[in-house]
Amino acid sequence: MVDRIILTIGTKKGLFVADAAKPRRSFALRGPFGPGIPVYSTLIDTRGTPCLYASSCNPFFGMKVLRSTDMGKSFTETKSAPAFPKDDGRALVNIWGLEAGGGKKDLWCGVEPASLFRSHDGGDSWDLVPGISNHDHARKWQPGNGGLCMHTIIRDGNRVHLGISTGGHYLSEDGGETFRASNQGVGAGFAPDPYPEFGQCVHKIARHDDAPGRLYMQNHGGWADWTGPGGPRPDIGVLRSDDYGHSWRSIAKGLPSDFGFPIVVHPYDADTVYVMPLDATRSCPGGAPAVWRSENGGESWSRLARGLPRKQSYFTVLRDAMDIDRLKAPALYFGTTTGQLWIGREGGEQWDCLFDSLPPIYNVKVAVA
Amino acid sequence: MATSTGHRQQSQIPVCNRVGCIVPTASDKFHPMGPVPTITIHVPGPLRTYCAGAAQLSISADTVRTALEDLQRSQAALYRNVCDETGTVRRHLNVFVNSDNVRDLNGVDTTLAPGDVVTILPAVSGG
Repeated sequence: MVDRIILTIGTKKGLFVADAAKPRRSFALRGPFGPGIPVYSTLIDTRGTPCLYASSCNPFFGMKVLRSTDMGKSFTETKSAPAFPKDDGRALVNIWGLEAGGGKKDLWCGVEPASLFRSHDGGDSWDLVPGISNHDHARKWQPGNGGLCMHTIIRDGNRVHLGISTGGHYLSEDGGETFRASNQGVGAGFAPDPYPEFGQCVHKIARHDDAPGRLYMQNHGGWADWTGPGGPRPDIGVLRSDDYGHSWRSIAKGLPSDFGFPIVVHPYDADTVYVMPLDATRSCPGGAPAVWRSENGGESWSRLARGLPRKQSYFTVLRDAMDIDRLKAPALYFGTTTGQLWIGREGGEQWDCLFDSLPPIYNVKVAVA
Repeated sequence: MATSTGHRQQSQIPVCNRVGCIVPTASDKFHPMGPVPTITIHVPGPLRTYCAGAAQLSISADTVRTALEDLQRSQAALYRNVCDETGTVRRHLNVFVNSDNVRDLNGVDTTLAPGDVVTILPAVSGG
């Protein structure tokens, strides 16, 4: 079978799937699947026979997990979605993260209210992961603007990193049995204590296989001018860890804003990282969108905007709406809250709009399958 | 409380303090004896896939709560679309008994009479 580039695009009005042959000259669009229903998370599982997953976050009838075994030509509901135990008192509000687990059919799922579930059968049944879901801090986390969501799940051997808004970064070093808050150096702008133990509004975390211990974080920045208790907190928005997430330091110098949602690492270069700075209104600074790239692990940044609008563009790119493929010259992709899907060829050097009138985009994932 | 049907008596026993919660309360022990009325549940189109395509279900229940409990047993997939895991009717759903929203009656403790029609409808919300 000829490998194809496959994109899953989660939107406010359902899931779309686009695919293209390797030159990526043109993409064919299918969908919407689960029409009319918001899709906040998708997963292209390329282990074995490719399988596509998507959450379908029905505000009326509750959460579903959709699965496709034919490369996104059709989707069916799995037998069940994550659900809290009956006596827990919490009810599922949304599904924010789907990630592949260790076993062939293992899946991990981050939800709102912030909790973690695992499946061992490809999403047909789910178990709550108590080490984080029932953590002593869990009932103290507060929702951010998007809700109290567990949006990032990163597995690295026996380490599991979780991103929670607003809970912060939690780390397990025993395969997910136990977790502890690991936020040294992660600032918070909305609390008197600028560096609390937990409660930070982490937006996204990324890592690279070739750089053990290295992690990048897009945190909730934008607090340079804060004049309240604790004083201003400049540059807390973009961070890096070199010790498996035990401590973090700012790498935001040189960016037009340290606020943003997604953060993405180049597939073949752990020093190359991409962010999408937004201003305090959560839109493109000056109405001119740009992805910013660092090729030295965050020491300096350059602007990538060739082909993007130069003015009058005030969209938002949400936390899971940017990804990068794994071809030899990787392309970036991002989706906007105004329904545009952009491709940044040659690592973001040249941008083209693939689709310009989709519903507001929440999630973009890409894989070669 | 007077209703358009005129035959419904409201329970004087406190109900669960979560609106729409069908977790059993003390009142469940004191259902009056007598034949349990047969009522009809009207299933909205998007949910019929969860009950073998049925547009209507005929069940015996003397309150909305017991009707939902019956659904939990007999139509578990359908039930999960109507109530969350705490047993609360989902926030953006409305449950009507004939033409009255149970929020304006006695919530899920609204009593049912023979021939009543319970309709589950998505609220007009969203964008």
